[in-house]
Amino acid sequence: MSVSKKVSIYGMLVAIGSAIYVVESFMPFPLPLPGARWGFSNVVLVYALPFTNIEWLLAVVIGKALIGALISGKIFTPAFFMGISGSTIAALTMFFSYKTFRKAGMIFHSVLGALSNNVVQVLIGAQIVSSWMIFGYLPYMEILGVISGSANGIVAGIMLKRMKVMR
Amino acid sequence: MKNRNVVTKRDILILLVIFAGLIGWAVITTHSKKAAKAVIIVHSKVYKVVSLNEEKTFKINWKGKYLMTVQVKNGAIRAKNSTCKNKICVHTGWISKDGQSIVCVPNHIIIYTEGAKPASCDLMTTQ
Amino acid sequence: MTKIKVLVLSIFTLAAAGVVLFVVISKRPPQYYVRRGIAFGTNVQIAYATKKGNAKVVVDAMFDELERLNEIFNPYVESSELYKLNHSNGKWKEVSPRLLNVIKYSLKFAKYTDDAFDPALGRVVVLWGFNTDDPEKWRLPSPKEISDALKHSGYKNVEIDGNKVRLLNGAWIDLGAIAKGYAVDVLLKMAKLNDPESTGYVDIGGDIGIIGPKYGNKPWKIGVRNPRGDMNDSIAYVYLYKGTIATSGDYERFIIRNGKRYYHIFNPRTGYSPDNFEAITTISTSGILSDAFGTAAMVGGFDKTKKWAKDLGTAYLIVNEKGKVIKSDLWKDYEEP
Repeated sequence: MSVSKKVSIYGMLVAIGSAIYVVESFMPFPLPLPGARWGFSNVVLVYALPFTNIEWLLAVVIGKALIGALISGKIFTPAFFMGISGSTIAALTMFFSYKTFRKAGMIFHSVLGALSNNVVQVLIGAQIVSSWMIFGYLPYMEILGVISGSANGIVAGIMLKRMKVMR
Repeated sequence: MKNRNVVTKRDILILLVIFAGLIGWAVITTHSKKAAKAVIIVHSKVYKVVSLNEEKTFKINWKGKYLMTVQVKNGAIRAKNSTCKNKICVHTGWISKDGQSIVCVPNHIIIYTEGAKPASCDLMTTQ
Repeated sequence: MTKIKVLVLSIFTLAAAGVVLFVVISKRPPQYYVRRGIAFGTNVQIAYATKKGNAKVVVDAMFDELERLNEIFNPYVESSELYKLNHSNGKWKEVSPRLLNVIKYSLKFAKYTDDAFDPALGRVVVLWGFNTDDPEKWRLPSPKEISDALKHSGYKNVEIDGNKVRLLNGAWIDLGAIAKGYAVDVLLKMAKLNDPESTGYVDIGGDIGIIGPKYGNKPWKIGVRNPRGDMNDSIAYVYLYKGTIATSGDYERFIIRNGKRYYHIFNPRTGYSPDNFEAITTISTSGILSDAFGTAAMVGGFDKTKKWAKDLGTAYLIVNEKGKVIKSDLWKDYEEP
């Protein structure tokens, strides 16, 4: 892949990710955990899995979190740190899952990523509120993770099938 | 990468298992009872957490100074003795219900119960 | 493959819809951040839940605020503003807006209650020793000592000019009957300023203010302590969605001499504690009113209490001197959840 193509592709991913990040911050979240979110913007990470290397993937994570948070005015708030660390862990998990479980579908990696993303959100939430009570939310967070992870996996998988840009 | 699937039958199976597991976990944590315990706070710091299911008597010392004797018995806790002058803590008697507390203002000690049977009210208004 | 895809999509859509429904229906109530501590010379408990920012930060700020209020209103620590006012030797002294407001309120309430309530009885309180936590210092003074202390007491010795206050005749202000209630109001305002939708309560030594209903829709159930029972022995319960509740009584700071009970509330005319009620609990929209009302009622007796309550819209529960419980009509409205 040429450098200019790379830059334009990843730039596009960051832009889409940030846009989803912003839209997502208006979406109601069913649990009263301050700063927690669905994680739909991670769909761009899932989409990048088949052709990315780990550095570029993490660049997308940081890019979308920074720009998304800047636009929605949430930069350096607890929600921002929750988002960026959650996405980082999700990216790593999905990347290694993708390399390891070669027979599994996109949805599997995506859900695995969402699960780890939400564990981190709860961990950071507990730090912020300094209360371990928050862990009572973990199972609920993970149920939501399966939903958002499946959605991300299906959307990204279908996009990959339809759009041949990367092949 | 070329022919990775969006989703395979095995994925569905795995996801369903995870999903069922999570729902089970959520149901269990929501309905499980916590063990009754008492939290003892001295000078704004958690000094000790004791289970109310044991039976014991112990002393609270702070910076080498004896402040209070606490007794745990039959799922309840009380201040048996205290060096404070007004003895409001001692007169409070046994507490065993969730959220009840023994407070010794002069010695800066708060003892409260957690995870026990709910008390008859959230709060008490006193003089 | 396409068949499987359709199948999968439909399964997950259904499952997702089902779970969203499940989560929304069983929507878990907000978790309360609860902090207990000793502040303002008493036992403080605050429970707070908010979707805006961090409940812990707000509650910690409330405890800090109590420290600041103590530095203003505690007349028995030498660093406090009120101590300095009491020891200004009758000279005009500039006071902070908060102290000024509370003094003004207490004077207004003293006039309203025909002198049953009096914020300038500091000399009498100190004479009996009820300014300390130490029961060994509580004592029955001689009639001569009491009449001397009364000569240096009374709210008519408090003069206000702009933001300056002057105490004549060596009178001392003691806002003990009102400061806890004022602190409740201050903390409630802080909570609502952070987030008007937030819920929880503040409990400052038994003076309680409701920030908002439990989990947003349930009332807080509050027990009224039996004045002759132990700490957790309730004689009545009320359900509060909002407002404040406070209790005055004769059961925490008292001495018994010659079979008679003397406690920390005084009749400004006699310098002795009144024997109208064992305790009174008041519900109103303002903490400072609930707190002051109880003290005035202990002194004023039943007929005046009834009149004031009707006038001010407060609800009350009285345990009279014979231990009989009397509830106002308004009180009964709070007994159902």
